[in-house]
Amino acid sequence: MKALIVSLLFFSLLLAHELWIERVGDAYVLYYGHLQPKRGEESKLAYTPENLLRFECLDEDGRLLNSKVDKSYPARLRGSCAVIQAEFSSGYWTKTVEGLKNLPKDKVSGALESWLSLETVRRIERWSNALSKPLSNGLELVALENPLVLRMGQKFSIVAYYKGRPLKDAPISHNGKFVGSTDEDGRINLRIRSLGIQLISVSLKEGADGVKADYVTKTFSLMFEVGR
Amino acid sequence: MKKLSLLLLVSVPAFAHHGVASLGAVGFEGPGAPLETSSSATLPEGKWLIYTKLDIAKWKKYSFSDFPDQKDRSDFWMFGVGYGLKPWLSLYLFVPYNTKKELKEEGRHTFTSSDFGDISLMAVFGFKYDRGFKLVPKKESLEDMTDWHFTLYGGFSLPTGDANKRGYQGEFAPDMAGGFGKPTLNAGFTATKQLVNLPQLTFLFDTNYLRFFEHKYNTGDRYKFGDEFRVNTALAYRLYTSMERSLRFDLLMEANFLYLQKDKENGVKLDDTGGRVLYGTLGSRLYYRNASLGLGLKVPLWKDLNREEQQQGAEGKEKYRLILTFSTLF
Repeated sequence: MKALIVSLLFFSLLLAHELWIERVGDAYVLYYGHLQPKRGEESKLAYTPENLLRFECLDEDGRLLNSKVDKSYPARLRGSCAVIQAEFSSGYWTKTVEGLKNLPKDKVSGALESWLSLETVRRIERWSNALSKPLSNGLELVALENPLVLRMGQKFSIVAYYKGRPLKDAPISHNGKFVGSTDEDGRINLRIRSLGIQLISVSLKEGADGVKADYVTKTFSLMFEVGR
Repeated sequence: MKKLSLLLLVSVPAFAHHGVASLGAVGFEGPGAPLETSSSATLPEGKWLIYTKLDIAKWKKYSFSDFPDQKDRSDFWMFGVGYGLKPWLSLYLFVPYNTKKELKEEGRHTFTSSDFGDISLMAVFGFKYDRGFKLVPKKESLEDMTDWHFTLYGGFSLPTGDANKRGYQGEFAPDMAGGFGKPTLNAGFTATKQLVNLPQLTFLFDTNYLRFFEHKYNTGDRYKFGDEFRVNTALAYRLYTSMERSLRFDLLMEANFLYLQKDKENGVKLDDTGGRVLYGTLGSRLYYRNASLGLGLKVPLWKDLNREEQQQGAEGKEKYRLILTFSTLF
């Protein structure tokens, strides 16, 4: 993991936009914005179909299932899924003396800092023990036990992985609040503090090509709902 | 003439309320740390703590016809260094330095004694309850910090201070000396709970026992200070936090109970020593990055001293105590 730069990104985690999936009727709808908007913040931000890289329906073992996807805003997926997962990119961002621009570094003058933003959200609808392990080689958060049976006030544990290995010192936010960073085993303990959507996120920075961006910001969010 | 009390006038090492935001940014939202009540915080593994405390005791004065000699003010300094050997095991070394000022001969003279006290060593074993009892782990989330945390601690002092230092005009005055002449033993227990539904508030409990042994002074006198038993409870309320500025400000409220056994001189209990005191402490603590600054005022709220009318300059007879602490972790 030499190329990996795990930095303390909790402030950017708190300030960044979130990606989440809501169940609306028989569809799963992808939203981008602020799940719990503060004063002056917009809850849901429109995006284009190009922002959506993948929108998938998986079974309990993480295998891809057939589904119907409508990528127009807000993107919708219909299917009998144990897991719904979306990959999204808001594109390149470059900080300049004139402000932040949604463009790669080589398309603006006076670039100060530039990054590519990649985000993934995974919603758990049905549980199996296979979901307590990472499903890919990328950045992931997994619950160690079935999160769908959790109740208000209960503690639970999640583990961060990257390239198939536990990721230590990774900053974690829970419903927009920074709650700490992972231990040497990539693990952190959380608590159900409200009913409804639980959105748990981790971010890391990785070096980029230096032409279009200085680094890539990867964010993974694990979500599930608690009803009691 | 009434006899001047010989009660112990040395602060007990206050080891665990280092009150440093020791766990990075998370620490700024973690449990609070009072001034007198020890918290259940252990030091992070591999980290050092530098600790300083100044406890200024201003003593109540009485008629010189009753007390021709009276204690005026005592400054109890405590310098400490701690090390996190494991996340659940911290080691501390403390060096006290005390300055005690007396009014002698009905106030016509003053006498001040300043000296280093006995070095003390202490070990703190930390554990917690999180779906079962377990050792304090290396890293905890904000949610982990709201679990019940406990410590068991024990330590001893070495007689490095000058126990034979004389008082005014060479009088025998063990309470004005730097050391006790013999090791002391100290053991205690703490419990800390940051409330889950009101994480700004932390409840703390601490109890400890301090054992003294008889020492034969070079005058031939034998003296044993009375053992001390303490029960402290505290509430710490986090009034302001800014993780961006690495800043935090807490309000502190404490109840500190102290039971003192009678001292013994040449094997005979001194009836005008010892008793029970309940103090109230109000204070605050400011955290900035890896350092904290505490300030508090401690006053006796209730007391039941043995032959109280014969005691001056002893615990329970303070006008007030002003407490200042500074800690930093690196």
